[in-house]
Amino acid sequence: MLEAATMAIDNLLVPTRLMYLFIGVLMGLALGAIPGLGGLVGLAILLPFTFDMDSFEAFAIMIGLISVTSTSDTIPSVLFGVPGTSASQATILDGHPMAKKGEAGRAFGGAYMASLLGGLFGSLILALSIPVLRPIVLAFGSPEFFMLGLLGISMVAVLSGNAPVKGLIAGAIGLCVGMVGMDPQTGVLRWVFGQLYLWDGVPLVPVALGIFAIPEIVDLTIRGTRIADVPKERLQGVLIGIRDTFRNWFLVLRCGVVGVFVGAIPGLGASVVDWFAYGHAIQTEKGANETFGTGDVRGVLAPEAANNAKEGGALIPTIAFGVPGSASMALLLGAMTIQGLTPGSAMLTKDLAVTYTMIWSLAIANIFGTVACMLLTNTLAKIAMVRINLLTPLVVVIVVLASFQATRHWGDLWSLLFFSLLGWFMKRFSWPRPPLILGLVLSGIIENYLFISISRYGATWMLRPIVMIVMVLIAVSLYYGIRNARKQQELQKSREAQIEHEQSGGADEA
Amino acid sequence: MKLRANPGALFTVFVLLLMIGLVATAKQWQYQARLFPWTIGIPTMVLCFLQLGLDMFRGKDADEDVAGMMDLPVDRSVPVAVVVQRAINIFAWILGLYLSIWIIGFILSVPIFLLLYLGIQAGETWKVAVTYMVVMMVFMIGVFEMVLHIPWPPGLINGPQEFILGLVERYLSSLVPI
Repeated sequence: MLEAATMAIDNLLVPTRLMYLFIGVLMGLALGAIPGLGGLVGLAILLPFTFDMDSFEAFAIMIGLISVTSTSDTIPSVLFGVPGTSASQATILDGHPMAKKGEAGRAFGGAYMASLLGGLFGSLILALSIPVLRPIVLAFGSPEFFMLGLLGISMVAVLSGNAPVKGLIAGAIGLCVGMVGMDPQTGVLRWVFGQLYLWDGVPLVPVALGIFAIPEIVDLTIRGTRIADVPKERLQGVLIGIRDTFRNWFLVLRCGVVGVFVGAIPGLGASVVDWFAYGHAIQTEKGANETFGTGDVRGVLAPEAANNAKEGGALIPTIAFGVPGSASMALLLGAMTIQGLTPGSAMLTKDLAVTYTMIWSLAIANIFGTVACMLLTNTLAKIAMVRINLLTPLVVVIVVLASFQATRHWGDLWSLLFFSLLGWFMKRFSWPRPPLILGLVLSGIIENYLFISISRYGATWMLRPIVMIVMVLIAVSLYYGIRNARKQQELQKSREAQIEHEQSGGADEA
Repeated sequence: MKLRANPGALFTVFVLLLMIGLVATAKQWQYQARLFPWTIGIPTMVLCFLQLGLDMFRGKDADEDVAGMMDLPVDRSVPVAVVVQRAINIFAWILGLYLSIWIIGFILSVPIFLLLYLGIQAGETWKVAVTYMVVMMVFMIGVFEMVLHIPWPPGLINGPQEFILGLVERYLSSLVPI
């Protein structure tokens, strides 16, 4: 195993691969700094460009991109009070007040260092988990992997919004889209509507771009203004922030653990990880109840350590079980399939060098990202203030060209348009989109596992102990997901009633 | 419970009809080919009916916004009529780009789209629009033609695209030492 890790670092330390990693980092930093875009859009755009790369280059650029969006997303959060990505919402609570007090530099110093330590911690846990996971994964057969696939989709479906039924349907739509094309077992053409283009299935690239990139840019254009328009302040005290991080090392470490844990659970991830860490810091830190929310640097360190550590956690189920915990991990899984890699036991045995390359990429990208952020904060802040009018045509053109890269067929462009409309309607009508991508990526794999399970074990595959445990887990996740959604809706209704009551009371008094 | 008007229900009906269509067409396939489509499709139809019921009786979508978990929030501050009008506008621009690609090919359509969008729709100065167009043209030829070697699909009127690609090819071959 140590040999594979050494071989992986040798593989990565080739100038062209390091260059790809660095390009990914720069793209990730720019996307993280632009509120409303983020790593997912970037990853979708990047996917077709990895076709001609070897697997080390492909994962260097992709992991470079996703590992640092959570580092640069601090910039708009602190300076403008607008989250760069959904993972930095909690950073605003103390980061923005710090900027107002003239301590933006201190907030950045702390956030970057906490992000770096969190990211390295995530990579370390991922590396350490491999020898532990290997015997477990090798003990799994097709029935277990089939059930794990369903578990991943159901968890993401019920947790990726307050509408679990919509989430489940979205996951099923993804699975159905994944079934289009020639059935590998029987040769039957499924839902191809006489189109030769669809014989090989709907390519992932136009679907991912249509579902995520176009709806985001459409919504940003609808909003119409520049993304962030508060003037930036002078940056001072970066070193004080770095010292703060080391002074609060135990908090950073604990939040790193929170980040890895939340990242590893399918369906949680980016948008909750910062809140979990922030909540943990409030509960455990001395005097937090009085100072948090007013510009306490610990309120910046906690979410920033956690949101960078989550990528290491999220890669664990993706690599080991082929169960991506989020949409960006689903795209990474898509890239693995494009590169001819099979997640699961192969990634922990014959392709172990690729797995370790991913871990090294994650660690090095975090170092690159932190250094670049320290040097480029002012430039990245200007990117965050770009006029949306300039961004829209550029993104549209890149998305159309990237989409055409999938199979270089007109069908790619029609798929892009269809899924753009579908994605936009889903967004407007509050349908969660990540389960659809997850369903699409996992469809072929899951169907194959189901086919093998039935042919080999008949109906008895359902009686295998791990299968039954996973069935229970699916039932529990569905139950808690639905219960949680109902609770949140009731809470929302009571809040609305309270606001209405207060407004009518105010009107009566007037 | 009373019935409420909800445009989101129309989307659910669309998904339901799609599912019914998918399950119905799978009927003619042999057992192995339709096993997975039915395993997924039939329960999904039931879920669609359930969602339709929720849409009809519970109303507003904002109650269950996906924001805050794994998706980006929807900005609901813009009036729906404006949202619809602007969305149609953007999708019309994208369709216009497609039409142009079909007629004159990618190479010319992309810079023309950038120039017109920035000049007309975005209200940028023509100086900005032209600079942007030139930079994008260089980027497109650099990345997609020189690095990725994309075989550009011919347009209905293919002469101009072929002329530009010919110029690029001649330029590139002049760079290679004999």
